[in-house]
Amino acid sequence: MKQRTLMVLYRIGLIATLLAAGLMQNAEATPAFSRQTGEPCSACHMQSYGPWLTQYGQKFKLDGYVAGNANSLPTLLNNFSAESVSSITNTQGDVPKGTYFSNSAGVSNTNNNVVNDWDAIYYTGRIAEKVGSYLQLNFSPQVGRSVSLAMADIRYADHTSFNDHHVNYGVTVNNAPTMSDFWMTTYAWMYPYTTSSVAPKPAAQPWLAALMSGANTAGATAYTMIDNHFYLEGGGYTSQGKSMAEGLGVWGGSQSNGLLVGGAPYWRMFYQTIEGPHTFMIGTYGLSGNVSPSYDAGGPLNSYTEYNVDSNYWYMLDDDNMLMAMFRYTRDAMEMGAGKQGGYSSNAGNNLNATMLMGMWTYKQTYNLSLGWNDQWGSSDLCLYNGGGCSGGAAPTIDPINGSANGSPNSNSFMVEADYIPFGKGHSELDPYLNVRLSLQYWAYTTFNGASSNYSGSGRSAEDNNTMYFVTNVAF
Amino acid sequence: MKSHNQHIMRLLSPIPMLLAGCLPFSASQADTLSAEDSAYYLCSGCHGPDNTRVDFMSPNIIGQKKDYLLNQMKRFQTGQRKHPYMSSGVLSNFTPEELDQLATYYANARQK
Repeated sequence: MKQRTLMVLYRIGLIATLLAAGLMQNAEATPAFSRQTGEPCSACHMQSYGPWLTQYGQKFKLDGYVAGNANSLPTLLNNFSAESVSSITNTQGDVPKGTYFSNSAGVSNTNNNVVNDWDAIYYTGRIAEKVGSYLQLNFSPQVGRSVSLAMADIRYADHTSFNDHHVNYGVTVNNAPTMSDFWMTTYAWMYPYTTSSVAPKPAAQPWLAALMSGANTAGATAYTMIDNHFYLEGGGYTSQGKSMAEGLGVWGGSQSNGLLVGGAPYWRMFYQTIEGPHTFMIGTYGLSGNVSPSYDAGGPLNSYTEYNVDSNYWYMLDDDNMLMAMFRYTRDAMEMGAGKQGGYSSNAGNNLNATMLMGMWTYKQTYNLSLGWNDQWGSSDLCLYNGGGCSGGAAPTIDPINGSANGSPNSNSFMVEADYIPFGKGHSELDPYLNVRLSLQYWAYTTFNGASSNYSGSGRSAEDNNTMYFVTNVAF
Repeated sequence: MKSHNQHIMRLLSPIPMLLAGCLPFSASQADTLSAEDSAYYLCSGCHGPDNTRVDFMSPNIIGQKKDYLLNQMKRFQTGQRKHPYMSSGVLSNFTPEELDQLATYYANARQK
């Protein structure tokens, strides 16, 4: 027994050493979970395709991904799944050829790009009696041309009773703040689940969102859920060194997201209640840490703190119709003395605020319609938001697509998305082996990088970045 | 191109180690779960009693008669009764003895 425990710990350690490779991408449910539990995807996921978790799905994650004994494939294969995501993107205004990628796989077009966004191999489910994993290895064959451990969460969980209170508790080793969470108002699991990788995005983004896409964090947290109402989690994250980042192909380009130096404390708490057809939660989470803008742990450091407040509400009208609303407010406080000194920012201090409001209607766990609004605003900083930084004291140049001529991070946008998920509800023999989601998304900007027109000084307007995105997710 | 391929190979090199590390631990635990554990991990997410129902329509199975529960579980297992969640395999690997123990557990349980 002791030897077995040591072997489990050894393998967990082995896996944990790989967590630092993470380039976060939107992750999904896996058919492996369905095969393990013997239940269709819709048991754990609203809309029958992750990541929106039902209460049952939340419990499955709280318990460490270990529930179920219905493996429908041979044991050695059951935990493996794969996924492929491909899309076509149209933006209202063209961009120069090669804006999004130019590599051995080809060159992005000026518009109407058809890409295989990413493919993934998953290893998910129980790996010991009370230890489970969610590991996603991503291949990006065109945009980025990378291989990365995109999402990783290995957790030990148990439960007990204390003074007639039910307590779930556990520890998780994972590769990003909020990876361990349950709600779509956190950055690891935020809606929309996928956005185009070949469309312009605002120059500014909240710190935790930025950490999802390139700072390569790894960390550990401990959590507890009391009576299925109060959830508390705390822990810390850090980054790997520059040489490891270079080796993993995640070093390069703008480094404003930087390197987490030392331990960055992370906190999460929420309250949830379920009363008949109503589910409600309100919570907060955040991260505070020292950041090296130059990826040099020995150099001067910035200091960032991010606070989030989030809330979700579901109303189940009947067996077929579900309404949902969610809200998030984000506040970043950024001390950037080192960034200014190194030419990465104009100011020694900045702030960024972001709000997200989303409403959804889901019918028969098969059809979904979403309407969303995103707004962000904050202090202007030319070197931070010009799309290329300032180096050597030279006057900043403004990227004509991604830069802001006035240094403002302000952007305002509206989104509408329709989804169709034909499988995943236990009606098909293919259910534990195949799931599909087809999504059509339209994103409209009224303000982009600080202006509605000529935001980069090159004549491009915010509406030129309006994006129509059709994406297929296939998991098997 | 050469450096890119080398880069890809370097990144892929941990994969066999990762997979090898995980494989031995996928064993089914059907033979190790007690009725209480089965009830906690598999049943309580929808049927309570800890307010974790997947929807508000899940039937109450706590304190039901054992024979009724056992009969329904067998019907789900054999496909005689259909339900999107219950008949798609939740009980597929349970032995008759385990079903009997689970039915006994719920028959003796009391609602909070």
